[in-house]
Amino acid sequence: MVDHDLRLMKTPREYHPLTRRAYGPAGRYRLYLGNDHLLHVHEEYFAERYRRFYFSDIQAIVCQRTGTREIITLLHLMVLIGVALLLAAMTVYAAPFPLVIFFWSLFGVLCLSAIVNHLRGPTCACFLQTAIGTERLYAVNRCRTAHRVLAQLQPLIEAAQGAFQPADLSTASDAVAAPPPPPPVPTVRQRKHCRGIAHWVLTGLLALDLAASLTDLYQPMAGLLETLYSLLMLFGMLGALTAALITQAHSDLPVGAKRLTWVSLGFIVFALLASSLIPMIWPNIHENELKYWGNVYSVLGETILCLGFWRSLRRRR
Amino acid sequence: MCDGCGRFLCALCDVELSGQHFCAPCLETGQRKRTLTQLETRRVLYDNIALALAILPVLSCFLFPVTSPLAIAVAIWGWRKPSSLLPRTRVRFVLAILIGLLGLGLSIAWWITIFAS
Repeated sequence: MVDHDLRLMKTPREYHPLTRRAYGPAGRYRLYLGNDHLLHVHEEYFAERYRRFYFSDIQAIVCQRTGTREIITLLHLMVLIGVALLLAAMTVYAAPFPLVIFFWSLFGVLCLSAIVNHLRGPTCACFLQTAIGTERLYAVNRCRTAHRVLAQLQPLIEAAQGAFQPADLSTASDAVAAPPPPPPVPTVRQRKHCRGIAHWVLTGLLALDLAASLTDLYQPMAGLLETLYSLLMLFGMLGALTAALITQAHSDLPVGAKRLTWVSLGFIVFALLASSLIPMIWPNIHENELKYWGNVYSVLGETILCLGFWRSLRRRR
Repeated sequence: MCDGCGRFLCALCDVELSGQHFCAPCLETGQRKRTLTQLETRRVLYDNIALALAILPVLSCFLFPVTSPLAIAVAIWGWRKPSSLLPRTRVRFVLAILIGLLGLGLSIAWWITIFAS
């Protein structure tokens, strides 16, 4: 009987999308506007998870600018440099035509993606606070989107809670001053202090490899020495990278340094993949030519990474 | 008064939800039987499951005889199930059934060819 009644009174809800789909740490996110609440949808492929924030419960919406756009641009730039070098080598050594077409298409798509990323404006992290706690709205990841969403939400929140008057602030502060303040409730996870030693080691290794690559461009190393050096450098970098990734998790290290560590991982993985795949797909390439272009890739990539790390970490020395 | 069962409620027992008033048992029933959409925090997307099952054999054609009937079954079973809270069409179900039927036909033809030869 109860079930029947509940079915009868169920009213269809209309949701209007507030943002486009945005990618977060565990899938896609999107924000919808309901009659009296915000709906934050987390889209896994086979299911959807919903969080509702009623307008009357929202205490604050905080947006903080992040450097994700610059990191994405840097990633694009690094891959573009790699593809450009490949294309240059292919042009010089007359690679098969379909391969050249494929890499030119990849280059075009990457350029377009970099331009779109830049035109979408600076990135931000948006947090919504209620009496229960603080929730990150992954769907709002660009400053422009945040401004638009806030402009749409403000009148709705004011209609539910009443418009904010400056006089309310003084009244509220007087009211708060009277009773003893309640113990603070930690809503944000405490971040551990990280001195960034592993990051400095990684930067040092990158700088060392940069110097070696520059030297190698003019005076190639002998066979055994080169193999030993490459192995030591690879294991050293992978060790420093692993240590850096472990220590930077939930730490107070600058976001830029954290992201650069991931970029370094991508840089090394790309170099390893390229050095093993290029001889397979292009068997005519000479070993010295491959080594030369590899050195050029290393010099360019490592210069950008070293400068980026130095800029992010110098204030923490 | 409870909007679910009509009981009179005291101020303590009254729970307001999107402008409606409920007693605790009605809320519990609504949440358990998924009749109160305001309380739902997760929905399974059967159309995506069916479509994935239908498209999955592209990776390996030997999966067609297994996944195609499964895709059709999931599509038929999930057709009447509550889908996303957000506006969503049933086009994925239709696609899953069509691709599933195609895959089923191909796998039957394949078996017939094998047995005939």
